[in-house]
Amino acid sequence: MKLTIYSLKGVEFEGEAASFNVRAEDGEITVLDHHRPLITLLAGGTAKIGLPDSSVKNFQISSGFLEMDDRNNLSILAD
Amino acid sequence: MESLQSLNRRRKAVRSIGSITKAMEVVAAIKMRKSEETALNSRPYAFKVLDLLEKLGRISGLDNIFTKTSPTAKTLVVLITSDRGLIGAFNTQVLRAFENFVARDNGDYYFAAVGKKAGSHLLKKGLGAVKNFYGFGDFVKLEDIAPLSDFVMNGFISGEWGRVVTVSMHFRSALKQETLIREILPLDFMNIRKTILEIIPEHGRFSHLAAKPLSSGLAASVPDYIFEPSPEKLMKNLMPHLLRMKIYHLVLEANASEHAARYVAMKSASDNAEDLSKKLLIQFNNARQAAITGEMVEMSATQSALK
Repeated sequence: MKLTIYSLKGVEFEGEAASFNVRAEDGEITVLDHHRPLITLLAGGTAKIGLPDSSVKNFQISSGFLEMDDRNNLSILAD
Repeated sequence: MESLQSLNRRRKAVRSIGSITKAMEVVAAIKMRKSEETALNSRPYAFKVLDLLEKLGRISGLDNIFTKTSPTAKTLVVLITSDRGLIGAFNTQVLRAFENFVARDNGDYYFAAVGKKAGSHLLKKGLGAVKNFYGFGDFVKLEDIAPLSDFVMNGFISGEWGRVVTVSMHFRSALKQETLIREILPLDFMNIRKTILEIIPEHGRFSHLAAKPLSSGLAASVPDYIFEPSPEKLMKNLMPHLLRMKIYHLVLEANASEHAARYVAMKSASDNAEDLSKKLLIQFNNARQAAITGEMVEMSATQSALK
């Protein structure tokens, strides 16, 4: 899926990702390819981006929003 | 003709003023670049927030506290100017637009001032600001805006005012700024899209962004989203966030315009100083030459008298 992380400083990450693990308001979630369309509130914590070559990249989030659309695009609004 | 000493003194004074304005010009140029960059870097983010909001608005069809209109309520006018002067007609332009707006659109008003110049103007006119904000600094952060955006939102939620209008300077390009009167509350989705499009300058380093396709655009149909925790809770979180972003951008824009205006004002001041200093140098040389000629005439006169 195509993952884009936006913050006020600009686009922090843009590219292919295999998985995205983050703490949401209702508990930890992992979004995989072709997840059902989802909009959720994020809680503070470290998000783990699973890259296609199975390495993991960490990203700090204090709060924000997550949106997965029906065209396999995952967008994160991080504060 | 003026004496040599006083001409020299004037020339030196003009030169030192020229170097001060030159320094201010350079500083303003750098600040302008930086504030323009800040405004534009946050643009993709602003777009995404808007995108989300549009989707949420269409799916849930929720009535929101920020979209309600109450025609009878008072209007809050937020006047955004700079804290400092030496920027040519910048503040005058904003204040004139404000005066025109108040004269044209008669109604009941509250006033809020952002920037010291706005505060003193309202005081002079005897309009009395509900609240004054200043010292937002040259590179505004979202947190710095919090007192202002909270003030605007809380008043709107409590029904103290039913409409919020801002008067500020809009950054079109480094050489062109114009005053802008914008209604930021109640929220209107079409307005938001316009706001974000306007952030892009027409010329210069960042103008290429205008050509880029803007996010995913308006999808014909909205996918069947799962909302977590609930659409209501999401709206409650997104709305204030969006509003904060909007006010943030207004202040950022005003800031970029301020630096651009100062740059232009200081540039023309240093150009003037240079011209003046050249003219004074010619005058000085003339006076000096005249003095020398005078002395030569005296000398040759005495010499021929002695013969």
